Amino acid sequence: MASGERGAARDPRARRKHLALAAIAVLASPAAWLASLWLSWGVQDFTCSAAASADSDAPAAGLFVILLVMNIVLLVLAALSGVVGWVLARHSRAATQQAESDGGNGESANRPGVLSFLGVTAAVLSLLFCYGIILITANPLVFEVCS
Amino acid sequence: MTSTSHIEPKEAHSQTWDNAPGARGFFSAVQHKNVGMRYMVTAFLLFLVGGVLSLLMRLQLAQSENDFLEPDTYNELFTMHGTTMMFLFAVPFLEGLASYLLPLMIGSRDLPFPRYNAFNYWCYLLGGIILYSSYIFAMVPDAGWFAYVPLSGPEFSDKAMDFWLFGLTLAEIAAVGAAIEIGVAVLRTRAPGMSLNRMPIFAWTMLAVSFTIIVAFIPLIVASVLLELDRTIGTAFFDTQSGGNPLLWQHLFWIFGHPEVYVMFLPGAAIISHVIPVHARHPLVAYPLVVVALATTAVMSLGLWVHHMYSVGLPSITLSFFTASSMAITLASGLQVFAWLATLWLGRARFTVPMMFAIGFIVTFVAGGITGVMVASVAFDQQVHDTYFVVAHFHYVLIGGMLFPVFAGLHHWWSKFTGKLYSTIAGHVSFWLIFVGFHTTFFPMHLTGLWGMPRRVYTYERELGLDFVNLLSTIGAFVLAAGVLVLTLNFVRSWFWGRPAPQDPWHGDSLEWVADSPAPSENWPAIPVVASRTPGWNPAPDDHPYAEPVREAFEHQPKEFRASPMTTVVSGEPDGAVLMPSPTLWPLVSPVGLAVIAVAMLTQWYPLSFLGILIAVVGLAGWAWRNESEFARNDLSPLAGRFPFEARGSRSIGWWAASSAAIVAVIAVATLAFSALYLQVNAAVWPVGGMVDNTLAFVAVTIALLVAAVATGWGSRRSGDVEWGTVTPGVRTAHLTTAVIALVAGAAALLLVCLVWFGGDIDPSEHAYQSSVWTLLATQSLVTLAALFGTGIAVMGRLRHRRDSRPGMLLRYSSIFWAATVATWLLTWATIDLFPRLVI
Repeated sequence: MASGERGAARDPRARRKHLALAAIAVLASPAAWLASLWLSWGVQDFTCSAAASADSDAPAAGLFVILLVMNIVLLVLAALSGVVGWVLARHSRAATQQAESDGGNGESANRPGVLSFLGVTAAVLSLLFCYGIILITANPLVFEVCS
Repeated sequence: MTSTSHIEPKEAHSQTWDNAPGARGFFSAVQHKNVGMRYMVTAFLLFLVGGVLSLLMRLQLAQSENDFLEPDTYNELFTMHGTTMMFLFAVPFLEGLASYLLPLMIGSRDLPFPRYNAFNYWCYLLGGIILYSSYIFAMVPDAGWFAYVPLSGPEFSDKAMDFWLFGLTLAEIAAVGAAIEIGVAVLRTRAPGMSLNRMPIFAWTMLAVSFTIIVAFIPLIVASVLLELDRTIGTAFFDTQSGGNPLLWQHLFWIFGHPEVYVMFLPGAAIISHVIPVHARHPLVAYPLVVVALATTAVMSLGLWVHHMYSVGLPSITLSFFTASSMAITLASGLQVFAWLATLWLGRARFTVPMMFAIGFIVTFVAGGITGVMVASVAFDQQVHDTYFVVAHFHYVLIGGMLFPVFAGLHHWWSKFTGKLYSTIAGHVSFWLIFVGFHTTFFPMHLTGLWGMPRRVYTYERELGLDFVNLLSTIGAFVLAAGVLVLTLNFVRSWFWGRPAPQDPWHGDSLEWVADSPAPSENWPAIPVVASRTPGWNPAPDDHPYAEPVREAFEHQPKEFRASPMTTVVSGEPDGAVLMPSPTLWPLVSPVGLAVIAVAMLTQWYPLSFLGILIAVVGLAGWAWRNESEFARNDLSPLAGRFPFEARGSRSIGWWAASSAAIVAVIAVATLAFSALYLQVNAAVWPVGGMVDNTLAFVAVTIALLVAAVATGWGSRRSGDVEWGTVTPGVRTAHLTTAVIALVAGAAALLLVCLVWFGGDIDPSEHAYQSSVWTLLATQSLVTLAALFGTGIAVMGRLRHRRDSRPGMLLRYSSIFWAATVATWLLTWATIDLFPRLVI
């Protein structure tokens, strides 16, 4: 491992930054999935209901595009969080191995352990929630909006 | 001399954690084990009562066209059975279990807000008493545990539903409070070294569950308030003639109701994740995947509610969104099941009583999960909706997913709770009776459901040919009840006459097994340091970097007051200390006030409600005064010079309390705003009778609230990150000045909101728009009052403390709540004024 990377692993500020990034990566894909479901339902249901109750035409084509684009953006966001998590986990494992080979113990090995855990967690969460978002995104392709 | 000086600090430290003797001690105890045990005992008693109600129902259904019960009595029974089991047993019991166990599992001496924990318990108890007092007045709720409108509305339900609404609201306030308590405990009071990757699964789960409760339970409280307003002052939230919509209730109820299933199942699963590794003598396989699974389940549970509404006529695409989510969640549940099976496979299983209940759980829950996938399909659900198939499904999930694990957990941790051993033979007998009784009761219900027997109907016709399967279910119910009776008697006998248990009869892996059984009042005379995921099997070495500083600060320390370490959220590094409040009667006073208000509303003797309000306010004020007395009386300089009690931002435990309160307020008002928008898009005309349009007043309210938030925020920063005990010239004046500015600005905002509320000629019974405006303004007034109260506490703290740090912190907490008040006001304003203009 490069000496710069090793330095980052031991520098408290860099570690804090990585931990914060990992925590965001963990939270991002669940948040994206929740946004996907709630917004898909809310935008579609509320717009169609409002149109129906006002006896006017629902903007079905526009809604279809909004639902598709919105969900694709959220899917990309969720996938990105997984990539970030995976990269951080690999980075952390490499740093831990280096620290151990340098004779480090105790807390020097502790923090990369958390980072690795969070990174893996973010990556797996991303897989699950991306699957969830794909299931939601597929719906407007199958069912007619505001039908 | 040496030995005396060695013993005295230990005794002095231990004495600070003792409760007062006698009745005063009973009512003033706030320690987590006292409160947790009360939750569990109360909830278990109510579980027994709920069980008796179900036996009466089964007797009625044992044969067709039976007249053992009148139809009305049957309606009351299924309503009270469901309400008791869901609201008064399952969630409170699990919160009690968490209250008791979590501090032991995570190495803390208490929960972070012990008095709030006691407050929540009293609210729950009084809520239960109010609900069951309906029997005394022969006004038993009978509209089902889901209380669908219009059946539960003013047109079709008498006073009985008010008992349900008030009792439930108090119980739900307690649930939300307990969730805050548990969430903050897990995030900030873990043992030094217990980083997130070393947290027990139970702690992970309770963290996820507390998030779910805070997001999902507040909508039910809001819904209950809306229904009560419809019933008492004639608002029109659910009245279709005036712009309301009964489906709003279903949305709000199931936004709560579906996550509630997971609030029950997830802790059950977590118990299993503790029982199986210990009794299979193998660490839990795929720990990170189990964490992922429970987090995924908790989050996805917030997006499944519509699958309870498949038959109400929603658009196809709406149904398919929620079908997709309902299918996706099965992956997460499956992950956990495979982790348990792999742990069993790789370990050396001991078929102890807890293990038997754990295996019973897996069998039963998987069966319930499979029927869950079936009813997640719209086509299938529409066929079996409101039949006994659904009754069978949810009892498999709830009894399988919650009750079996709870019984496993009780047998697993019994010696930790009581220090006694139970009869293993009686334990096995109870398991087999419960297991066989359960499946005999509920498996036939799949068939009765598929054969067309509707639920919630007091009898069935002989021609349906369902007598035999129903009789089988009834026999099974009594076998199940016999099992519960054996289990209860076994525990009672053990508690009073059982043999003493060793400290760790199972050779457990998690931290609670390191403590004495039962644990002393302070849990940990010396705070444990954690260096692995299984501290019971792999304790931290003596030369762990945290060991010496933590020992210096906390070993039999402090002697004059209660304290426990704070650690960082991710890494579990010790970075401060929490002052743990001592016993007091104050947390009992406010719940009594709330109960008096409920009684006043129930009896319609409204002057009594003023007495209730007075009691509640005095209770809160006395509580705050007592808190500050402890901060004034004790020497709260940083322990061992490095663990401060009074640090800035998220390093102080009060910051978490203030932030939680702010989140609760915002979610409550957001739910109201959602409700108004939902009604608006479904109403043909919105608003009717003109909009409440007072731009000048609304802008003035916004400015006043912003001034209050900015003033308190600025004032809190004046004390900076000062050392404890520092008194900087000018800071006291700045604190007082900014607090007074906030009080004046907040009072002006409150006055303006009240002027619009009362002076705007708003008739809440005229139309749902007016109902929404009226309720939003009332809520905003309450939120603003709470913010004023918080600033009042900051002023009181400034007058009582000479040092700058504590008053600065109090102002900071106040500013957080003022920021929430700004957010709630903007939501209110948008709902009143903006949405009607923007949305067609």
